[in-house]
Amino acid sequence: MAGVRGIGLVARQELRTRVRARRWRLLLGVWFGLVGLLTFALWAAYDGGYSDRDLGVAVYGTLLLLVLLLVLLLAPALASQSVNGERERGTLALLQLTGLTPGEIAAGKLVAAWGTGLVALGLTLPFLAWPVLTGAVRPVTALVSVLVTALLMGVVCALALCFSAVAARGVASALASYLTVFGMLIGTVICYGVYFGLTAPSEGSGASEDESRGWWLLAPHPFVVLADAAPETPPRPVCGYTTLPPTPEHPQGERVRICPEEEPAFDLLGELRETIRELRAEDVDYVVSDTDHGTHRYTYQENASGPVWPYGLAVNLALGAGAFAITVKRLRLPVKHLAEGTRLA
Amino acid sequence: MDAGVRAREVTRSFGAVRALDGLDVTVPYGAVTALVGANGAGKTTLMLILATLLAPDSGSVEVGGHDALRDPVAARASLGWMPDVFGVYDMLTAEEYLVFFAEAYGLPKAEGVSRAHELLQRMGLAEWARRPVHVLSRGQKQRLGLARALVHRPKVLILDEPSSGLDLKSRVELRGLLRSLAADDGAAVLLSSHVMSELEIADRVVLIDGGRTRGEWDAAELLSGRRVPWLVRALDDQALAVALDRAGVPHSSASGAADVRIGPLTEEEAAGVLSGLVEAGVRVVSYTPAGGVLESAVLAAGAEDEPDEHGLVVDGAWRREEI
Ligand SMILES: Nc1ncnc2c1ncn2[C@@H]1O[C@H](COP(=O)(O)OP(=O)(O)O)[C@@H](O)[C@H]1O
Ligand SMILES: [Mg+2]
Repeated sequence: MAGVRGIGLVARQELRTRVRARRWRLLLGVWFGLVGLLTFALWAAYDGGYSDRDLGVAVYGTLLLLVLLLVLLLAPALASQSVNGERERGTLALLQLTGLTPGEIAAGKLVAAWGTGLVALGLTLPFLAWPVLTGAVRPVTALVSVLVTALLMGVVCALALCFSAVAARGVASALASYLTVFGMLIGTVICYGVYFGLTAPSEGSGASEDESRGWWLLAPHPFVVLADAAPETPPRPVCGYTTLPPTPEHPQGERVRICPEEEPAFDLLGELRETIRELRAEDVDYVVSDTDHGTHRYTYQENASGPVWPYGLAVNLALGAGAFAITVKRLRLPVKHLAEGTRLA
Repeated sequence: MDAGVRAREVTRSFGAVRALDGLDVTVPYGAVTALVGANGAGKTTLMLILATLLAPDSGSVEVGGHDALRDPVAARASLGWMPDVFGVYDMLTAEEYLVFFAEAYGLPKAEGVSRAHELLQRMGLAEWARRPVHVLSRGQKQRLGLARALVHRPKVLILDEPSSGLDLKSRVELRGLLRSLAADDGAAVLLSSHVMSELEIADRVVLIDGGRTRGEWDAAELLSGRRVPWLVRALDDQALAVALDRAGVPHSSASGAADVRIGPLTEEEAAGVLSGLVEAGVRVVSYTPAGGVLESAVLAAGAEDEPDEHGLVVDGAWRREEI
């Protein structure tokens, strides 16, 4: 199996070229500025409505999802021309003829691409850190959410690397990589919608509708994985639907939307998590009981359905691992089939 | 005979194109073998197969005494390969470039550094060690590429069109390096060319066309007994002209720095003329057969196949191969 020395050698070589290229430093600079600007805009947008604590939650959740989005868009740029770019430069075959194994070359390139991405992610940490330092967001939440972001970025890097090993042209692999990211972000939602619509029981058939069908199509969505994996940022009730106890007017019990008396901070991560778990469980989240004052009292309850993220993350990691295996296979020598006009060196 | 490369009955097709059609080639140690053929003759394809980069459809390939098809890793360790394009990491200096490949071949860092310096010295690139690779001239890049191919001390060297695109001076330098690698280091050197006038580098010539071997000659054998023009340069043109006239050797007029063209002469006759010149006190600086010696010999020997009609460049001009 691949040796650490070989992987390090390939990765160091890739990183050295990047560090020296002005555009990479420029890119990271722009990145830092962009995330800073976003943070500032979020603080400004949410300010006023919430307590300090809630403000931190609101900014953290939204910023993290934006960072994940940016990271997913950055990853293809880091890896989608790793192999075919080297082939076009004429150095790939030279590298393959050395003592380096295909596994070492592939892993070295992945480490370099992912490592650059982690540096970019690291640059966002100062902005994410503030809500944690003020106590609005639990450290464990921050840790897990950044970890999941890093893993998802690694998956996209592995996919992009694979495309760069399969496609002859850098343009093609870059395009394929971005299409994959869009597929993950938008394609999953479309698939879910289509599946949900197609599997609806025909009207009047009397069959009860399973509202939770198709939840697994949404599970691999990066936002869903991230939101669901991050431990709750102090548990707080959010708005939801519930059925009131039967009354003479409503013998079945009235279906109402309820919200906590105090408007909670806009917790994007929390909302997403509730949504996907509700989708899966088809459960009501609020237990309603009568109070002395004749009003209802809503008790927030842990959602009955289990977490969704282990499935989603597993699907993503399996995709990444498969992509890596294909990359290694494509780097094996000797080449048997050569597409028309393809050069080996 | 102990050979660095032994390829037998090698075939390889690309779709309908039969690039190699049962080709045989042997590259002995201690000699430079030239693989000559027109564009599309199959030179690059053969070299990719010898370098274990491309799988042949059939045939056997032995490199450095290892079966290159069954044990490519061992074959790779004993082979240095230089493609017809120079692969460059733009951001590296010449030294870093060599050290990186040395380490990739498994040399410890310190050893890689000393090996890099040794090679830069040998290739005449010592003063360029700290310069980025992309500022090097074509000839310098070619020598850096050669250094890269030599970094792990291979016994077999496979060079695809090494002098393509080089000016005369760089070509002469390259020729000297390759000769010394074969003669001094005992390496088996195989180079390809579609430019016949470069053949003077070679000890042996293998002509291929249409993916098949058309002939194999010893360069000295090809030359012996054949009358060709020779080029002479002396410190004093006047003295040279007088001595040649006295000996009755036909010659062009000496003009400035240009070589004087004499002959045509066989090797035997040329040797006699040279000793006569030396005896007459002419201080001869250089004395070589004019370009086109081997090319006319090879063309005559392989005449039945008329390789030049497929675009073999005979006139010493070179042209970039389409890839
Ligand atoms: N990757 C490829 N796909 C299709 N045809 C190829 C490929 N590589 C080489 N060929 C064909 O094989 C023949 C030999 O090519 P090549 O070995 O490059 O010749 P040379 O190096 O002698 O000019 C040519 O007809 C060429 O078009
Ligand atoms: Mg060629």
